Amino acid sequence: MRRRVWLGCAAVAVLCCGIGLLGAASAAPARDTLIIGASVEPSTLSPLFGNETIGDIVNGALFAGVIELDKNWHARPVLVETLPTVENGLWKIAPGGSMQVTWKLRKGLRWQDGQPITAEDAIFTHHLVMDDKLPIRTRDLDRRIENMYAPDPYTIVSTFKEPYAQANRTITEIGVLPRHILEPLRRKGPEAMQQYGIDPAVTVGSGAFRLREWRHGTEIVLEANPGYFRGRPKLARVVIRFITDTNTLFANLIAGQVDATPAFGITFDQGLELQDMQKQGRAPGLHVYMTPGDGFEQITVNMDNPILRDKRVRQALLYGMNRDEMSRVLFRGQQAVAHSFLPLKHYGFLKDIRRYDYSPDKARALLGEAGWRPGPDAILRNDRGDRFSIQIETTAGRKVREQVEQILQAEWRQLGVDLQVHNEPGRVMYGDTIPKRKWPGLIMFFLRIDPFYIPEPLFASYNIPSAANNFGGQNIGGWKSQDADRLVQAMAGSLNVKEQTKLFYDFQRLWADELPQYGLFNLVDVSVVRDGVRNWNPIGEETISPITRNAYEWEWAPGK
Amino acid sequence: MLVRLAQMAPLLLAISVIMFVLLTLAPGSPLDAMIAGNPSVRPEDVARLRHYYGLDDPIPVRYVKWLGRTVRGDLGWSITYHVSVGQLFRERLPNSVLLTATAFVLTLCVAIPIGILSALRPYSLFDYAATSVAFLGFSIPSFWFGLVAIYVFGVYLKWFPAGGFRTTGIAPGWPELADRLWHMVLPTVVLALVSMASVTRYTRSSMLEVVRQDYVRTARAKGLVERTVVVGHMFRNALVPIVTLLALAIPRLFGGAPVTESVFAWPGIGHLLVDAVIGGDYVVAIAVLMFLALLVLCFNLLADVAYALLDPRIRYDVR
Repeated sequence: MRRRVWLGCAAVAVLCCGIGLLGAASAAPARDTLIIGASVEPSTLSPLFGNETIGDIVNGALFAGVIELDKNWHARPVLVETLPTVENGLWKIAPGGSMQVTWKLRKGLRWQDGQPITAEDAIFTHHLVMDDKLPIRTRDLDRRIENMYAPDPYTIVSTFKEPYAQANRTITEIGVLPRHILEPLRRKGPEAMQQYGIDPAVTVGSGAFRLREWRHGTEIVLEANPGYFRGRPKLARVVIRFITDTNTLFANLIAGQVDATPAFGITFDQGLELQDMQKQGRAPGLHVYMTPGDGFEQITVNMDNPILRDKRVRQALLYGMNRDEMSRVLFRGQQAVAHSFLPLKHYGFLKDIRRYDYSPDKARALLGEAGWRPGPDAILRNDRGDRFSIQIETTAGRKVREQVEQILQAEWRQLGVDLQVHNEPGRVMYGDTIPKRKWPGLIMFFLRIDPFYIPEPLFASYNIPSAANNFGGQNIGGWKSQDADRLVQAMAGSLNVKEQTKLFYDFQRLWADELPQYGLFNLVDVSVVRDGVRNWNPIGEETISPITRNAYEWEWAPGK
Repeated sequence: MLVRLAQMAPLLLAISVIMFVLLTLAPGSPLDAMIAGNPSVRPEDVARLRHYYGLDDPIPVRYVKWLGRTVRGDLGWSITYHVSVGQLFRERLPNSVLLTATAFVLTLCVAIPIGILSALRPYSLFDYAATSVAFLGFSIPSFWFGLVAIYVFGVYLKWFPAGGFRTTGIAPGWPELADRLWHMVLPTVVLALVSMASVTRYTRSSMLEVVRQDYVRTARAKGLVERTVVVGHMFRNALVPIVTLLALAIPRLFGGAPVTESVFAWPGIGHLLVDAVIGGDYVVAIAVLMFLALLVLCFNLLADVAYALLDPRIRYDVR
């Protein structure tokens, strides 16, 4: 009996070793493949219906954009010969304010199935975006287009009734899609349309790689498109592997089972840990990029709060917040203090914006000026006897945010401010509290500001969510300022970059004075790549110009 | 038996009502993510999308529509995945069945012999060791055990992959089979650990109850070989409580799969459930939850049938 047990154990051990050896031997990856680990799986790759950043990242390889950004976030043409501008005559403005924008497609472009890319594809895409029978998420550009027509197969003319500053950002909200594929699907109905972006047989793009296989929950396999107009990709395939648990993704990076992870793969803390491990020689062969991105951590003020309504109080609280120290302690200084709501690379970013460096004395002086005096329990009180007690809220379980709350509690306590913490699960906060403006004081979360964003939805007083507009606006803090309204409207209508930049500067000065938000930190995008992978160039922007925009240049160094 | 089957229908209906109401009342929907992530979305876009997905209907109307579709075999359309829920099940269920069935077989092959040996040699070194390991299995959270297994066997020893389902570009045939088995080892062991612990303990205690019974002594007195006594007389009689446990182990394994599948990036329905709940895709979430509920009811029924087969004294007569 005992002998049999031992024999059984030995057989199991041999089987496991055999499986391991056979599996390990068969798993050695060929160097014409790059395996990217991602912590989120896209719902679809269709630009019509997709919404996630990870979808944008995959689509950077599947589709050539109308434009892309360089490392300084300056736009350059990709599918088109040049960007329409007033100066080059492709963007014309009539005296009444109506506009005409002309796009010239590059000649000789082809879809991945060999069909030519023409102006008809762009016009068809515009009609798709405006189709009420399809669940298109946004039509911000297309709704403003009065008419779109093609004088010849490579020219697209869009006419607008009113001036729109972002009219030369893209031809349609979602770029250009293949009419010859989507038109037959559209005839079959909305559900058939949703096969585009999921089923490799019908997902035809214009990018360097085409969709070869999508094993849901496991991986997406992209294979090189030899007919790509910028040249045949150097890799045969790119695999995006989905590992939703970031700890497991981290382990896969160290174990060498994924070669890279883009932004939104591992967490910032894991990026720091990886840097430490590299210093200790425990994770050799990996390069960690910390790229300033388009997101910023911020606290939005509920401007209806009777205490926070006073500008001097808002300024005092920011003076009482040691953001530099927080950045140093929490992020080792790698996520800088956000003095503006704009990303550092945004063309309108104001370098000499008013700064609120830590100064408890200035904070106390402002609070005194606003009528707040220390009460018997060391908490401030005003003339009516109201206690200075406010509430802050953020997503429960987010360690760094909870640490910021604790630091703020301690720092503001020294000023005589009682800060109560009330956190909620992300779903409740994003699904109910924020859109319906249900938080009474301060709320902390992060915002992404894209390189062309005009802040009208975020700050115009007519975009305050309310029952009247079905809680649809984005000005969740409820900031009402005639100056802000004037500036954001002028920005949206300005077609001159210099003039628009000046408006951005003026608006940031107003924002920094009024403080409807407290900027905390400019977030960095953490991406990791294995040594030997060439041309991995993160720029901190993953929607318009994701890391995959130059996937055709990626390659393994010889011997890697 | 028919009565038992008939009782399942109202039970499932009640479960579906509770789950549907709870899931739809929970704050957040996939549309919230679209709005939060895209400052260009306007109120009219939100209203249009809510109408398209039927989210503007009152909950009772949505439930009746969902029920009507479901009884016709149409599980609905996933808002986040843009495919039918049926297709998602077809893709994910086989992976979960493979993982769960393997974990179940592993449980049977390891836990029952250990339980029997522990009972035959109570308070021996082997029994103490088995008891300690079983208590570890009970008390270690599977996500933690999963991560430790990944770091030890995947990162440092590199014996097994650190998660995942298959190696990209693997050749079909034997290499693919070996690759799949190689990927399955760690998640299977982690998933099986908790059920192994409970089955070991139950087997041990059930066997201890019968080990000093008269019929066992009689069997030995008749001169039967020990193996026949243990398997034919002791284990057969100890099986009834173990069968209950085993029958419920399958749904419990499926129920534990969300954690294990998420940690090991295993594309099963457990992983799908986690994603659906996080993404507010209630159509997918309720389909998976109803499947789990159905599984519990079916295996309960199966356990009852097994009792009758194992113990001729048990009958399910309708009076």
